[in-house]
Amino acid sequence: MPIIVRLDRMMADRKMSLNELAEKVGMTNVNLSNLKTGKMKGVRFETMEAICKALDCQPGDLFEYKE
Amino acid sequence: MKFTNAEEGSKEYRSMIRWCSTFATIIVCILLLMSKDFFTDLLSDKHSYEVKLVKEETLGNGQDAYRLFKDGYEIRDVDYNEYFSLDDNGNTDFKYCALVNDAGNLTFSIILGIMLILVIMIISSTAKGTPFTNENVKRIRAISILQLLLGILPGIVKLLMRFFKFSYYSGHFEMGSLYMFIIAFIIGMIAMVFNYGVKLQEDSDSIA
Repeated sequence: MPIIVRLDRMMADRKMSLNELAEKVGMTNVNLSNLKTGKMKGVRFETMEAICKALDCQPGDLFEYKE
Repeated sequence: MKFTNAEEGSKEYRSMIRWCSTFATIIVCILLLMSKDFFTDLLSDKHSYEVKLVKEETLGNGQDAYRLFKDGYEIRDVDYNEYFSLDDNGNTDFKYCALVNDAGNLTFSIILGIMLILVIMIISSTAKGTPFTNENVKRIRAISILQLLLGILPGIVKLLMRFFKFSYYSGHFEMGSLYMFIIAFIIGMIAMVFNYGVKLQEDSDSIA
């Protein structure tokens, strides 16, 4: 898929672990891990909102489009 | 099924599983009891069977009726054409005719029992989470096929049993069987809808 999830980079910048983020966002570790590795088909707006709030970033910081 | 908290959900789930298991056990016990009576009658020669014409004065409904008696006790109304079939020696066998009828009823009950157990399995798996699973689709398909068999198998069992004993045998198509075929078709459609539901569920699960 040409859309790459940059969640790992944002988490590393904020020095936040997967468990910590999952707890803040209210997702399971497995789901968040799948999202991080690009295994998910989509993201709900409410999930994106929670991630942006937890990481203090914009939705555009989380995704990148590459041909 | 939605629960307000995990503990309540778990309690409700355990209670439902317990009820489902109890119900399934009762069905299996009833089926075993029915089979036991049938096989005891089949293997023993202790009981005497006879068919008598009961006059309308006794019945009071304006019609004479043939009734089956086992050891002198009245069991049920019978169809004259089914119970007076003759074998190669020109004899009737009321016990065999009663067993043919019981075999048909037993086949019907066994299929119905399996269907009920499948329904209980669906309810039980739904209590765990979503009903849209591949297992449930297979179960609903199985129920559809069993419903189809419910319409034809008891008749085939009776026909085959008569075929082996009597020189004259017949089978007839009942309107009830047609209803069962239609119901089987509807259940098959429900299985297809569930199959689509499974795909939607998988899609929903793969969205974070």
